[in-house]
Amino acid sequence: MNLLHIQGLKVTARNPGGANATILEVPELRLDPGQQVCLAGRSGSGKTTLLNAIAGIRRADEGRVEVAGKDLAQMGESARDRFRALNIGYVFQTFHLLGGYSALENVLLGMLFGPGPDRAFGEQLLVELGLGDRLHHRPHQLSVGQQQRVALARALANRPKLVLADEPTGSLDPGSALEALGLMRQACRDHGAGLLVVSHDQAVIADFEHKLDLAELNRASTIPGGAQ
Amino acid sequence: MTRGISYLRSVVMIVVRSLRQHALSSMVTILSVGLAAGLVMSVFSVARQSRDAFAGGPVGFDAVLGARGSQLQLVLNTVFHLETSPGNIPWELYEEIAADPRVKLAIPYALGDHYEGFRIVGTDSRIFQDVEFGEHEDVVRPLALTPNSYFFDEHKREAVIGSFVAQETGLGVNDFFHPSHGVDHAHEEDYVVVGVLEPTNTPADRVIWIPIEGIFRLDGHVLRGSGEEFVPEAGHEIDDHHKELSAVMLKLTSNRDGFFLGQEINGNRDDATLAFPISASVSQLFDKLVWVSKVLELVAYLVVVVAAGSILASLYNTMNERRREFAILRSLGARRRTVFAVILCESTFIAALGSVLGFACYFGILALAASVVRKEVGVALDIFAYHPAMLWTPLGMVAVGAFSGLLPAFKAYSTDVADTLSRS
Repeated sequence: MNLLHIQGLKVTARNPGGANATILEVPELRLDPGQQVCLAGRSGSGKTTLLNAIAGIRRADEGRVEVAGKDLAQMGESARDRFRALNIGYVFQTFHLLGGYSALENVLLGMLFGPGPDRAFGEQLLVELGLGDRLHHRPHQLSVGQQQRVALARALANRPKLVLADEPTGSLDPGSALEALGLMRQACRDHGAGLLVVSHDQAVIADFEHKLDLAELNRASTIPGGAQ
Repeated sequence: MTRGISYLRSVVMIVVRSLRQHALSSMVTILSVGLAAGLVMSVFSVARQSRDAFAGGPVGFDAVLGARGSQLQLVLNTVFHLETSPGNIPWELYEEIAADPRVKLAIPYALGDHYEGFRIVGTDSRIFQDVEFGEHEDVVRPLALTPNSYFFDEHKREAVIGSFVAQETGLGVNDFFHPSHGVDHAHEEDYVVVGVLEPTNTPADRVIWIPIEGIFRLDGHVLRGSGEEFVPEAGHEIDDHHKELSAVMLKLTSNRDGFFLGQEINGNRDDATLAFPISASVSQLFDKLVWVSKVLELVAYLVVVVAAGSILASLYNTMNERRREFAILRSLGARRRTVFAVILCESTFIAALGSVLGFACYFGILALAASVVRKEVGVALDIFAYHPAMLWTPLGMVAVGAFSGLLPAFKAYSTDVADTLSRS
């Protein structure tokens, strides 16, 4: 069974003129369990839309989005939310940590909607990612790299089968970017999660054995700089 | 089951955290809810309690006989010491009513003088033996002296003072004072305090009791009981037909007798009024004043509306900054109905905390009201008495709170995750 199997996926959006336009069209995409793949794509290539569709944040208008054998396109919103909580970790480009919560609490928050809070595991994840002495720091007290590691710990908190990462080096300086990427790949391997990264950073793309060009993958004629 | 509990716990955790994060606005909102809840409960409770204290409590007598006029004025004047005398009645009327077989006890009152604002009542010694005072039927007892005091001698210039008089004026046993008439006229005679009474929690605590003979003989007093002016001379007996009274306080053999006596006097005579039953007269006053409590109720309800509005505003104002927070929670797998529940719980929680605070406000307001009423009238309000408003106000407040949360909750509910996240 594939970890991820996309067939004939189409996502449409209402453009400013009011008409529906197809912004994403992916005939086929597969990931094996534990596999790490990088999708190369620049901004406007529909990469965030694709990740959102896989995460179930955005509904597929056509086709199948199977994650671990379950077709998200067939689920209602509430079922997709629950499925995401249990099976998919998402590391956003800007991390989206909650400012009012400490690093550990951000990780625990990710668990609330999944199997429930497991403080020991949350602490373990942060320690593994080198944040053992930052458990109770608020996001604004952490460096950008540390914030990303908190986001990664949160993504792994519910022992997901698949981790999605949107431009994982986009907010980091080039010196630490590859190190951060290495940590992310290692952590996903350690926890048995597949990893799907989208990036336009050549260094990132070069780091992966499996890579695909999103511009080729996506048949939809997307407007550069438009809706992602 | 455990899922349900952990779901609940996550909602509660997010709610508590968010209240703490917006501590100032939460506090102000809770405070406004508390004031509103306290005010509503107070308005209802004080209205009920003051009515009970005035119209329901035992007053020691069944009826009051006085000059022709309003029964209410008669009662307020003689029982609550709040009004001036409507006029005087001759001594003969007292003898006549005292001789009536339906009257168990008749005690004359001569009023009109005071000391430092406290009413001086001229009467006879039976007030100390045959009349019981108390805030409730089950605690009534005759006036009791504090240690080392005595009741007055009816033939001396002696006074017995209520506990509140002693407390406020500082008068004690063996102290002298000059009774006054009107605002500026102090009588020449001085009276000595021979007794200080134990508190009764009734208007009697605010009274200075002196022998009725003393009132007749105060310098400047002119007696018109016979229809002619008469000034008593020292050392000479006053003939009864010169004497005049403010009222006669009555205890009757039965309510039925009181009813007939009232009909006889109020219906057939034009020289006297019988106030019976005493509580009915006071009830009339409260009935006349019912619009005051209606207005207060309306004000209290408006305050509730303002409090509800402040819940709504405080939540709604944070919605823009929290939209991102909810989108993140959604991206972590929180369902729409979960974020809806978070906001609704938050508004309900604010209302519930406010209601708890409302009880503090309520007891504060009641303590204040009780001390004012006690000071001005002498009757005691029971701060801890139960009123149904103490149940339905907090419940209603919580319902109002939940309702105020609906709009912000719907805003959170309809947040588009992908849009919100890509924008922030």
